[in-house]
Amino acid sequence: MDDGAAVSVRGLRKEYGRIEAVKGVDFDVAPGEVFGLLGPNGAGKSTTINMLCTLVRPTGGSATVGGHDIVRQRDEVRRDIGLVFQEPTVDGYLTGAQNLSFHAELYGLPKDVIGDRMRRVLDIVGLWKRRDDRVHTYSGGMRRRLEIARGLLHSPRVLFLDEPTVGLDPQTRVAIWGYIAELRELEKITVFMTTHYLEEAEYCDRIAIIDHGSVVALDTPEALKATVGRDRIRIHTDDDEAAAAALRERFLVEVAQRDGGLVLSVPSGEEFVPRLFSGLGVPIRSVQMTRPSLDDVFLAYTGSTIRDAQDGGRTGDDGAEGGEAEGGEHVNDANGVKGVNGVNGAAADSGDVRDDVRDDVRDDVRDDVRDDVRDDVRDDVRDDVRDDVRDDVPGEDPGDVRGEEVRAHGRD
Amino acid sequence: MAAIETPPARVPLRGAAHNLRAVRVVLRREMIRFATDGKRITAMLFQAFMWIFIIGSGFGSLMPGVPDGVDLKTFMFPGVISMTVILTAMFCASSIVWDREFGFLREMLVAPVSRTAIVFGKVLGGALVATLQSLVIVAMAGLVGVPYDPVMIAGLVGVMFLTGFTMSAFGVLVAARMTSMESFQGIAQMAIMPLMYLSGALFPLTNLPGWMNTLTLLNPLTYAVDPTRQVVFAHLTVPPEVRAVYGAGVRWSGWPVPMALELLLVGGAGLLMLALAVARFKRTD
Repeated sequence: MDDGAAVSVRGLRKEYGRIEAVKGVDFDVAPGEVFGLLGPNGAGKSTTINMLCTLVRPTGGSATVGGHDIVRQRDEVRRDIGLVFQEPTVDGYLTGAQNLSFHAELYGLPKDVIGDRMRRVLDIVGLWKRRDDRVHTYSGGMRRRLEIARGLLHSPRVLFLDEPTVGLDPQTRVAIWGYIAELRELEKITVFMTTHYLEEAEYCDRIAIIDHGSVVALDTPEALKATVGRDRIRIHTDDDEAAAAALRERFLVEVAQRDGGLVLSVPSGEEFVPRLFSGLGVPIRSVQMTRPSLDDVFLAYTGSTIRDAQDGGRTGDDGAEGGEAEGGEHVNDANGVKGVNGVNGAAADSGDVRDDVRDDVRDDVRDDVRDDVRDDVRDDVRDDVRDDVRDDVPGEDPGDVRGEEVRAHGRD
Repeated sequence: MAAIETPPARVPLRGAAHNLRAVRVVLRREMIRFATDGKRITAMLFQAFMWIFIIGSGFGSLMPGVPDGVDLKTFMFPGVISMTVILTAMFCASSIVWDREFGFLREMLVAPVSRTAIVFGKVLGGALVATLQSLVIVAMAGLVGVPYDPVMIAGLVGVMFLTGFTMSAFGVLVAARMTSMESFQGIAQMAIMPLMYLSGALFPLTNLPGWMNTLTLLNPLTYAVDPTRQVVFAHLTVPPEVRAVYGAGVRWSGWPVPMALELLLVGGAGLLMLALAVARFKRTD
């Protein structure tokens, strides 16, 4: 086993009775890496993370975390890892600071460093000012941030995040990712996370796609997208019928006609578009090109989109999300506002976010954020927030169009 | 954002001092929760009040009158103290189910600290909370003709803590594998109700039919309730015929079981259940 790896997994298996939840997975995570385990619910993500965190005993195979064996050296592993669970695990009866000091005592941190460490981790997640409020009064996003702070308190080498943003509104999700990126700089730790949000997998250095208990692909998001390889092009022309015929005859590509536009898929879009202009013979009014998305990657490796793959196990999850999302984010918190701005930035940066994620985001924005924000946020910040939400929504329109395009292509 | 540079905090290897800190912090959490939950204290006080003054007065009117103020209320007073200890301890243990439901249990179970320390802290916390809660009932002594004797109160605290410890351990043992609050409450009620009614907490065991007498002698709670009553009755001046009904103590085919043995039984049962609870928590999937 590679001693230098932060996490090293060899043939790890877990069976529950006759059900094989994890069917022998192998991977290494380098120190300082942000590593993502991507898959639908029930793919074996949580079981894998629980085994690595020593909460579940593997049926077979082996794994080390920070060089320690997860079965034989459980205490050593536990000292070296921080955990942020899928479901909230902070105590609402205690204050933020009490939750952290509980953790510090449980982990036996030297008394003389506890105060400084608490200050530092609370600063990282922007909760220092709220430390003496009971967690009852925190919003869902603040609780998650408190959990991240707690997971960092004992300076772990590896921070495990099991679906760290599930059930949070999109603004808070982006804010959480901001903290994760920041703490990676500040604390120099390895981040191991699971997610079923494709947009979040983009934040990872490398992704392992896990499906039915097996790793089906493992690489950087870019490399994975490159293996799928085909760019999507959507054009509007003066005469779609003629253009479609020309494309089929002269360019030998499949074309789908949809909503007054043509959608096609080619290996290399940037080379294809100039040829299109010179050789189509029909005036082109607009061209739009989309790089392959992680959803395409997922589709290619598992034979289903992540949304379809999830349909079976999704009902219960939705219930949980509904419950968790209630709190919303208190935007009067300085960092909350920062997070809101972050959404706009991210939307502008990543031009190719998935249609299903888009749907998610739009639903979330509509249902959670707007309502929550309207209900929760105090009058004095209400206007700011509305502006931010408004700013955010137009930014999604290109994604919306692309969304239809992807669906059109899928129908071919 | 994080302006101050702090050295990383290294977690030490497991040691006795570390485990002690874990016990203490788990216990402290129970205390914080107790202190911030005023409603619980009030509700328990109200319940005790009802038992002693409504039920006690009501059924007391059926009992032969005793001239000098010692009546069913006085008899029920230690019984209600025991009941409060038992119910509070069980309630504290139920928070384990709560912790599991809300995930906090995982935070504790993934810590590099022995499960024994966590379970022990939890049980100690339950015992302490039960003792404090019951002290509120003890404060009502004057209303039922029991003197505020410091020796008696000290004795009561001792018995209450021991009972609380055993019941917490029992509660934690039950809670160890429960996944929902409903099933815990169901099981707890099913177990606690008959045990409580057959323990002599609410009515004297002196003139019971034979089969019921046997059941009370088999009931471990009998040996927790009786010492509480003995401590109280030791500080009352009552005519022997009244004592014979209300403060008779437990007899094994005529042999009066000494209080020390009763306490030993209760403590032994507590340790056994603690060990079983720890074993349950040590098992990983």
